[in-house]
Amino acid sequence: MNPSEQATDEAQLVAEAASGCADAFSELFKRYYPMIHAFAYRLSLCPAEAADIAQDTFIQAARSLGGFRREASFKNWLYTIAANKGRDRHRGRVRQERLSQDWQALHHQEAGMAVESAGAMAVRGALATLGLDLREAVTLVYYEGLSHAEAARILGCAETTVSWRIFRAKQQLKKQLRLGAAGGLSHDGRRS
Amino acid sequence: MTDADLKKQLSALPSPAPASTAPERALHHALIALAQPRGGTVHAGHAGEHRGRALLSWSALTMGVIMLFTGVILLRMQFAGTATAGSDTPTVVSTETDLQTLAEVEGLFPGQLNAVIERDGVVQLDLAGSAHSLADKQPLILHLEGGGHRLRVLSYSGRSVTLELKSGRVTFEALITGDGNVVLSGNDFAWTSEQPRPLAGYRVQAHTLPSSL
Repeated sequence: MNPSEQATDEAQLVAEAASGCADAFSELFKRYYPMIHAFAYRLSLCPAEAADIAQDTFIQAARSLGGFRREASFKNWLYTIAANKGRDRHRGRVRQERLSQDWQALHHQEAGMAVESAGAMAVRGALATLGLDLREAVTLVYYEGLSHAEAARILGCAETTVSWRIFRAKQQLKKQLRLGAAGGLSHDGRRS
Repeated sequence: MTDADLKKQLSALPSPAPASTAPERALHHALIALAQPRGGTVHAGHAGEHRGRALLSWSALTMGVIMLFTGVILLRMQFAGTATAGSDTPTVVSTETDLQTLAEVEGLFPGQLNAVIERDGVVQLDLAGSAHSLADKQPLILHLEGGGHRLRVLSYSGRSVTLELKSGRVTFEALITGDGNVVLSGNDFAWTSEQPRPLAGYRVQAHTLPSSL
């Protein structure tokens, strides 16, 4: 199926799902759940939170499909919902407690894992030091491969704001990764 | 470290596969949400096949209107003396009163409150058809002023708010960000208290309220 046919097919699925067709919605879910889950994980850095954010995103999408306007792509619309859900959850005390538990679990898992995961640990630790606004920008631009303009539309801010956040995030990440390489940073981004 | 090095390092972080039951559970809940009656327009082409849903929507709407008038009566009493229609001075209501109002209405309609809207001294409730999560409620307040009208909106982060403005009906999700800013996210607009701009011809101010006093 070429991109044009794919877009038509997706528009058809969205229209059918908006009218309540469970099969069409399930097909959209199958296409986009892994992407949204990965996005949610990089926002939250917590597997349990990622699953919750992804679930909340699709529940909200199911409720709001009637209001979906085709000015944005369906994928970017889902990113917008997921970013909002991520922000909601970011504030919760519950998240903090669960995150702490997850870090411990990950730490224990990784202690027994091969050396190649040290890079992933360092990156996770560095990302954890970023504020949510910076992490959102990094996730959308670096991991999801979106342009600053697309990320700005998803995050509801100016393109220049995204560019500025990326600039600040890069500075902070480079510093943290240098510190990590020097052996002074724990996996949660704190000095050990 | 160059940007290319940073990109390479960032790519070292894999995203773990979701737990085996998570997608199934998410799809199950989403399909339940899809099947629930929603407000809004039913397209003419689908009117026949969705008559049942439309009827349910109308029932929910009727219920909402009844609740709204109940709320008007209750809340007029609450706000009496603090709000003056058409007054040149801003309505003065304390944070304590705002929080009390939110708590009382949320108590009456647990999880169903989208917003308490005070328009030129008249208070209305915006209620959802189904309950929101009751956990982690972050209250917030919006002030809108334009075209000779003043609106005060009390809500919680993450709730969907619908306002009748002079340009028509505007629906958005009011969200508090990690750094304490308020974002209003609509289908075709986003507004943030970090860079407050007029919205639909209204001057808007928004800030968070303490979770408790």
